[in-house]
Amino acid sequence: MNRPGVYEVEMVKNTFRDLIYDPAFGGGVPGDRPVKAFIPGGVSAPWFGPDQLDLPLGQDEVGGQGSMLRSGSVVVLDDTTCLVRAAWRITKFFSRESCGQCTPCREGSGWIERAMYRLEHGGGRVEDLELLLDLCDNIAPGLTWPPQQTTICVLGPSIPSSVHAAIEMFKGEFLAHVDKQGCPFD
Amino acid sequence: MTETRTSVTVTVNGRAVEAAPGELLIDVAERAGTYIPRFCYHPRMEPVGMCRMCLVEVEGPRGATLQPACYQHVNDGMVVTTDSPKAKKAQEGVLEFLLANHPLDCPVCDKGGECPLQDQTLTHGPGETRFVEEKRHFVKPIEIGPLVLLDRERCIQCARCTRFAAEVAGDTEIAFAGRGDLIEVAPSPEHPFTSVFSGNTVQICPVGALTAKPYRFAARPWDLDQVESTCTQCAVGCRLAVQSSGDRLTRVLGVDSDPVNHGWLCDKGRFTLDAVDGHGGLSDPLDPRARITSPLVRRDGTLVEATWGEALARAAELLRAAGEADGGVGVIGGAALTNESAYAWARVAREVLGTEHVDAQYGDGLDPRRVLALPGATIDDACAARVVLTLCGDPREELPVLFLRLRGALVRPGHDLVELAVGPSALHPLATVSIPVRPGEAHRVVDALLDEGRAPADLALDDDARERARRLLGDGEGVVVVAGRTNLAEDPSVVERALTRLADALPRARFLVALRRGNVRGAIDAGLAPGLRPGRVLAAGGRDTRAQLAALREGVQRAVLVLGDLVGNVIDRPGAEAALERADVVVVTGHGGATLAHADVVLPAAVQHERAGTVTNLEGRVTAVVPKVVAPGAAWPDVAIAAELARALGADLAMDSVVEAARAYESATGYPALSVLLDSTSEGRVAGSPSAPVARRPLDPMAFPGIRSAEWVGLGESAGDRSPPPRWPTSPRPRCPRCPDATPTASR
Ligand code: SF4
Ligand code: SF4
Ligand code: SF4
Ligand code: FES
Repeated sequence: MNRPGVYEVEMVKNTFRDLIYDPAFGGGVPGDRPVKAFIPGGVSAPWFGPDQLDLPLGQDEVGGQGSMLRSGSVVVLDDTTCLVRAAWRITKFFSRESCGQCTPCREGSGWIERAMYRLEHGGGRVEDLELLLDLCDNIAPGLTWPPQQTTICVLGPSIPSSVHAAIEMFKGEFLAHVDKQGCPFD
Repeated sequence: MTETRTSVTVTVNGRAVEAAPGELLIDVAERAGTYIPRFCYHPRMEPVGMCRMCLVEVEGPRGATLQPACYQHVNDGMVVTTDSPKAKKAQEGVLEFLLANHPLDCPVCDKGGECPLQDQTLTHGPGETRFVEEKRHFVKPIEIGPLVLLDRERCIQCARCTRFAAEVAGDTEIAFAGRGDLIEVAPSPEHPFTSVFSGNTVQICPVGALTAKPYRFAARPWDLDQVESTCTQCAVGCRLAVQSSGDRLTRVLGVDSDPVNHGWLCDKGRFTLDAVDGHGGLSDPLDPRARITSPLVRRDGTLVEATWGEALARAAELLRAAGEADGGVGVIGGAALTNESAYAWARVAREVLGTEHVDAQYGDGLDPRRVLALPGATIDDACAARVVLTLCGDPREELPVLFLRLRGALVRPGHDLVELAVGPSALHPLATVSIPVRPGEAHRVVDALLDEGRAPADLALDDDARERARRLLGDGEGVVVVAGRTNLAEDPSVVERALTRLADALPRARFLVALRRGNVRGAIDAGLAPGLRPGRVLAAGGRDTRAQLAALREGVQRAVLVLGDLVGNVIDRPGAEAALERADVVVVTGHGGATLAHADVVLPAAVQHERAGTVTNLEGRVTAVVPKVVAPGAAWPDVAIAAELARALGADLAMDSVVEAARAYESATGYPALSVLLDSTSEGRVAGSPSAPVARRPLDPMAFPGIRSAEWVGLGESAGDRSPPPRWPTSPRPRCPRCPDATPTASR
């Protein structure tokens, strides 16, 4: 963002577009790069695409579209961002965050993180996409919103959000990683 | 008027199941025949819902959701599906996650073949792995204590071990460290894992992450054969399974006996198998670790091997000669025997040798005439008691699993401990009131506790503590006194007087008498106590061990029949040695020991795991001991030795088998024996209390995932199953009674 920061906005009155582009708030994307995706409410939230930029900043409005506003920390990903890498880094965060008590979160986060790392750094396989989605499903059955969970606490179903969204929204980018056996953005 | 429900109905996979309100779903389903896979759940510990293996679908207001069955208390109308596609996918998913970082160690893993992870992977897991990443690596295995090794790569983080340590044993020596998928069981940096209960963690670890040094690589579970028996290392009488590979003992596992040990054992009970084979065949008769495998007779000052015939004849000669003088002979020891053997020896003493001088205790106990006459309590009674009053040594040291049971009760609300603190005790932190007692003063402290008015100043009692203790004790209703010898230097009458006073002043209190040696209670019941005939019938006189040793030193008593290692166990060792030095000494023992330096004849006996019979624990519960291996060399079971010695003395005990001995013991005393012997896997009976049929529990309920591997080694026995009939030699004497000279090889 041109003006990253913490902003107080009135609920529902403003949209994500306002927040990102209004000079009083985010002030637009550096270099006027197009928004590829954004995370509406913290890294545990499912991602949105540019067509959802006009959603109002409201819990129900965002919730109705299958994500959440919750922490209100909006992350904007422009077209220079590798979304495989972004999803991997988020998973890595959760894998380190996992307390390790329950199996799906402890082992699932580590497995997904390692598979994503492999995809990003060469070694990806086409079948990894299906595998990743299924591992996500074994943590948050049905990959619904609001999520169900096989874990003790809600850190578990936070893990699949980014990976699931990235695969759903940017399958081509994953396949490009497989084709190139590495990251096309490198 | 509101009614409290006594039963609820739950639907499991379409079938209605009755359950008690608040029962755990995993147990209810299992009772109804539906096994839900599990790892972290253990029926003797609080559920934690950590491993997520037991996920099932439970109908709720928001539709069916996945819930851990071990963490779900049933309520009326609950509808549960354990095998829906969603539940099965969740179970397979959890198993696949567990296997992701699990090494492919099965071929070299001690747990292989009896591993819940293997078994449940077969029954509830995915067929193949999709994990292609590098697995987690740790240095394997690390020693976390003198007996236990930890392979962190194999650990599935179920927390059974750490929960056992914290919740059941109250130890802080192992705990989790780290987080995420690098979480690991870690020994405390300050203390290695030296808990006297460490072996339990190995038994309940659902994988091969924790292994016990004595069993590592010793056998494969499918090569093991087992019998259920009773531990005789102390008077708690824990139920256990003894396993052997061929004729070599390999392992002991705890069996869940509801009234006694809840599946737990102490390390003393679990890891003493090497004593049975003489620590690999030690043979020095003065070494208490060695086995005695042949009769020995002293010739020209040295013990030399002899035939049974020679040894029995010599023993009979010495005892007969001494017995000609009044009070010339006596019997000491026998607390490590079976009831049947103790009864046989009691009859040899009284009927054949004509002596009342018999004592199974080595002077380290209490007078059974006084303490066993007090109203008795069971272990369960003590655990249900409103107030436990302790006047005994540290139960964790002397009666370890009794400590576990008491601790388990005392950490719960509604139970108070009044401790007459005679020394450091592991129960001390749980005491509501702790009253320090100096040696020799227990009876005076009890008087001061119970009497109105001021306590004698020299006792330095805290008035407030005294008042609180008095209030808690009330008239003794709901009070169980756990009483034992507090101090070996102190005269036993100190505790005896204290107990008598407590019984008088608290008429409703009951007493759990913590005499601690293996089967001391059974030996006393069978008649190996001065002044107590079989069945604890009062008789006149009789010297106890201390008096016998004095009489031997004075030359009043000329000979003694020692059942066990007197010198190695007695408090006044020089006094005992001086006594034996002057006397004719016949020793019946399975092990060597210092006593044999004074023996004129040594008769080799079978020891635990080699002999059949019954034993009686400290609460009076009679359970069976079952032989697993054959006694080495020419050793015989005590019943046979007693019968043959009687014969050599010209008498017939009519006890030519353990069954005959049990029948005779039962009819002479009224205590259960034969019925217990014939139902050797039961939880036994307490004399005088009705014998309720008890549903037997599996050895470890988790080792019953519904496939055969666990059953093959007998681990998967479920309630209601009958195991094969108990096996004990129909005659304890495989040799010909007509020609006792025959050596074992010659007679076969
Ligand atoms: S879901 Fe929660 S409880 Fe389970 S491991 Fe993750 S952080 Fe721990
Ligand atoms: S060592 Fe065994 S019992 Fe302990 S947490 Fe690991 S798997 Fe569970
Ligand atoms: S507590 Fe006593 S009976 Fe139980 S295992 Fe230990 S030594 Fe054996
Ligand atoms: S979560 Fe139920 S057995 Fe582990």
